[in-house]
Amino acid sequence: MRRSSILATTMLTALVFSLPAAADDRVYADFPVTVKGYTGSKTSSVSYSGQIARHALHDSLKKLAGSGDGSSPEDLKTRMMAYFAKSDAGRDILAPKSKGPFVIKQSKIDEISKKKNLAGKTTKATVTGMPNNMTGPELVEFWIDKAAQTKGGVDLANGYDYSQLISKFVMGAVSYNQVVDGYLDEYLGPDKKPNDKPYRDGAAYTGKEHAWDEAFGYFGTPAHTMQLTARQVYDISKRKGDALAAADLNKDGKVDLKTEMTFGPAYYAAGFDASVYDKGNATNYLHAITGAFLDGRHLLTDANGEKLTAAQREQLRAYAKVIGKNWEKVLAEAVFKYAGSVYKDMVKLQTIMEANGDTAKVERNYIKHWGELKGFSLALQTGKDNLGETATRLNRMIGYGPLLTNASQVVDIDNSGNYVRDQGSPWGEYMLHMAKVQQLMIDKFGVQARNNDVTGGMAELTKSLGGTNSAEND
Amino acid sequence: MDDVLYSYMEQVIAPFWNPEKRVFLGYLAAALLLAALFYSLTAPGNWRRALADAFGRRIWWSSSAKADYKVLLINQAVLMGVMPRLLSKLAVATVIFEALHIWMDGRTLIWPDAPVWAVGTLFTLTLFLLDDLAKYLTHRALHRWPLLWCFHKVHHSAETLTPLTVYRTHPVEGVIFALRGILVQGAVVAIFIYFFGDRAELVTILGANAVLFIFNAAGSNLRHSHVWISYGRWIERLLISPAQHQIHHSIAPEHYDKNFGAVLAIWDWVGGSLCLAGRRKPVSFGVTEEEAPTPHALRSLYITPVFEAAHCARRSARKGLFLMSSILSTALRRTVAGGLMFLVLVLTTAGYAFSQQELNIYSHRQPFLIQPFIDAYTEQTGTKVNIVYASRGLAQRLQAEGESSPADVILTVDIGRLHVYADKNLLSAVDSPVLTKNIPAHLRDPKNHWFAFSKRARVIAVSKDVEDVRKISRYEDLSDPQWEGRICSRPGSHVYNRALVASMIEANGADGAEKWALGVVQNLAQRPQGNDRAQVRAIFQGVCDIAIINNYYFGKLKFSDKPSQREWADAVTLIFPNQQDRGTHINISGGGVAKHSRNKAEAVRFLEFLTSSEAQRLYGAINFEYPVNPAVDIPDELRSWGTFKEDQMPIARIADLAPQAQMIIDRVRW
Repeated sequence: MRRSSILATTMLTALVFSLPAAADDRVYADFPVTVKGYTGSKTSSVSYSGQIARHALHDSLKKLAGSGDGSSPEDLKTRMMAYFAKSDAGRDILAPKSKGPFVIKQSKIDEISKKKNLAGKTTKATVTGMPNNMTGPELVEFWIDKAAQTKGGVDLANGYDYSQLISKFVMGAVSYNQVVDGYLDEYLGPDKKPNDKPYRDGAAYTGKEHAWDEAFGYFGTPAHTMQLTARQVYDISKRKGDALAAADLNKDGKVDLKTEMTFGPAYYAAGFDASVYDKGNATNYLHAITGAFLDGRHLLTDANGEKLTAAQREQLRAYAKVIGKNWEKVLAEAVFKYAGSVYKDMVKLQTIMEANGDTAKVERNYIKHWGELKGFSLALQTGKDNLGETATRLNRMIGYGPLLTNASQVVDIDNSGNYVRDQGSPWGEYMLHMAKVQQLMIDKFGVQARNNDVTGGMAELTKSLGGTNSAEND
Repeated sequence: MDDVLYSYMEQVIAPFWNPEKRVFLGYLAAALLLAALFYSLTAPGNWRRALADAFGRRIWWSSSAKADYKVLLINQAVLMGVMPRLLSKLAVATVIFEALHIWMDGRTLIWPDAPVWAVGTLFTLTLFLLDDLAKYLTHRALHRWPLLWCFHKVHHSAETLTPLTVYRTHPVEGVIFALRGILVQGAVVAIFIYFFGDRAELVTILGANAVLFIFNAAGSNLRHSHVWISYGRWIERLLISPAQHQIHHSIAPEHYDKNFGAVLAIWDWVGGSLCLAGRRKPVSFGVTEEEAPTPHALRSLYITPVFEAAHCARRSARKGLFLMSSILSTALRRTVAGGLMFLVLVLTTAGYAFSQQELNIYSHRQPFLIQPFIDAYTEQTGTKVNIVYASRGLAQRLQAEGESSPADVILTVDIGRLHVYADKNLLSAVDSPVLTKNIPAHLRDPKNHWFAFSKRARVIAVSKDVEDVRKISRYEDLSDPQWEGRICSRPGSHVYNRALVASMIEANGADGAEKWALGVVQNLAQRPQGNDRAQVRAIFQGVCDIAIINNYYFGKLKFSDKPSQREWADAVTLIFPNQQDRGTHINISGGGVAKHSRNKAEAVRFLEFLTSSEAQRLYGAINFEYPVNPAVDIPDELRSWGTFKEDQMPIARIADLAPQAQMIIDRVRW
């Protein structure tokens, strides 16, 4: 990478982190039309409704994956596939839905955007963290098939929570992958979707403008994020009553999913920022990413429909790098957090088992948290770069399934799609794997928020004992 | 440069403002007040004079004190570079924290209802006690071990004592003391976090360990002073008084090697080095002129100890600690080195010459088990054999490599794992009359994708110490309630147990197998855990009397290098079940030819070799496994454990029944 690019990225990151959120009240909306010779009636060139529709498809699919009662698996699978792989009209938005005063404007996927699905945008790369060399869509379909046969999307015998696995993986395999491996990578080249031509004939946006907007759409944050705190953005996703006021930018009393809602990727970014905002390890993922998207969009608007110069593209790549690196860190933070959850659940499970108590409730949480861990760890591997040894270590330590209370673990999937189990690693060793996963996230991605830190207490306690950097004697 | 200078100045000055340090101004002031109070009580008419004598110019500007100041300034510069490169407490704590997970197989929090303050108090006291004990032991070693005394002598060469004498230390000793603190504190942190979680926290006063705060605020700085304060003969058995530490610095022979303790005197009491202060104040401090002729010269403080220590080490070497350097003469060393180089050359050339035929094996079996076969095969054929070993993930690797995989042969254990390769279409069908002849039909794949090369009997190990267990003759007996709390087992999902359950389904139907498995689980003495060896150990330890194991583990223990493991084996005897009906269940080690092998003929030749008499005998000799080739005799050692009739159930059928067996295992929570 060229030195100028590194310098620009560093300066930009420093700038983004040094600015308080309140100092920037820009909204990702109403950027003017810059396409030369545009004859249409639109006054704004911003459009990313297709990506918002995919967030709604994702949320709905997650809801369905956890809805089975085991009675009609084929029917449930068909319904799930309608949200994953089909593009048919008439699909209801199953999530997010209105909740009390938090009224959502749309109730059908088509009201956001028509003919959209997830499978077409799921990475086709082989998923090395699961057996049988499945591609992204194949893995999701495999899980959909399994989820349809369960009650509530959970397979207690093998330790899988399919709604978590599907949801977290799709957040990477669709949203993160589309952005960092597509829109903010090859689409930034000089010839792909140039800025001096409309995205397609008659469109109100240039090629580069629309590619950038779609990338922003995949992040899933309200257009006015810079005017909100991370906590407010987080609460919007939770649809809390008082979150309506924060979400409702146009003050029509409803939340427009297309511009005012928080979806998965932004929800996690905001969650980590909100969890440590008042601590020494404060993070700023949400506003760093949104700010870089806004900076890039302003650059494109300022280009005024002309072909981008090499310097402008370089600058755009620097913004893209801020987005990519922060997004990657959010996923790594999630891996860190859920590795800690799994570890803590294992402590609880062991305590209960040794007291011959009932493990059912904790086991359910354990499987849920493991699903989130596995899903996010696979999502982290869907970026532009092959994570190499980091991915290998991550996959080996987490395994294909959680270590179950009967000491077994899924070690393979046979040709018919049946799980093959074997005696897993010792309990203590698997717990240590979780601690090491956390360390890997620190070493390779520099995570800062570190929710559920397994050894964090040890670091703090060690620090409280003071230094040994002077030689005293008796 | 400015930064370095600033850091240095900060490091020199900071301890005076830091309540974690002995020389914190508050503690110094407290010591002065205490001294004033002491003299006003013990010498009411003369206390000003006494105070001036103890802290006057004659003391703080003596040549000894000036040497203290120089050492302080030089040491801070030296240690600025050294200390950050030492082990960190966190690194020590992390290693111990991880090791505890392995030793204790997991982690359970203890005393969960304990309030934070109670855990904090316990932590602070434990840390103080162990830290103080470690200080005592290290200090004792510094006096008793001549090599270390060379360095510690620097501290004792002080002839006037001031609170800053605490810094009069050779840097080598500084490092030793720092490492001591790092190890002890790291260990205590790890152990407390492991058992109590984040509830462990240090009880502090002004940010300093509360116990040490009290110790320092109570006049610890008077230890290095000329203020003779004794606590009296009873308290001085528990706490080291300033007077006792001054005795430690005394030049009088009767005071040598006394009062090593830092805060507590009990260590000295127990260790026989306690000296109560009594009434006689030492006349002078320091070491003899013979030990340190110019005690305050910088050369004596820094260089001389290093030379003396080197001399000391040489003396030890002459006594035989470093024999190796003197054993070989120069000429002999040259001959050995030349010979080694020649050997490397010969081996390299030989390796190259043999490199024309190569065979790549992906093995789940450990290299030490496979290597003798490879050696024998290479000797017989000249083929170079490469092994890729992994306990897990080889099937996924083979799958990912696809047609470009270098693998020729797959070796693994148990039909459960062999079946995975066949199921994923990763093995080639092999048409070999030799394999067909040498391996009975029930021990190979009907489609010839995989073959068994050795058999292992799933036997019942019972304690020699109890009689009633001898009446067990069938697997079915193990579900009898009379054995409640007397059986040990590894987890049911392990391939060996799953295969056994599959054989039970074949013999008694699914319902019968489930009823049996439930009965076994209800008879377990402990949660299923560990491997087959661990079950024999459990019998030895008296946890249970009965266990299901593979026969070869008994052999491994019986002939183990570790005496303890031989004791485990001696505690049990083997029962080969079901001899009056279907026979003892067996599982296998086996393998096949990789689907995309580029050396298929060579791969088949290797498999055929594994069924030959020579290799079949090796299975028994190396790992106490039974030959599959009926023409090969069972080794005498194995025969001595008992001959048996084996279950003739086709091994392939076990793979078919494995999913059903797994469901049973899940339902009965084995």
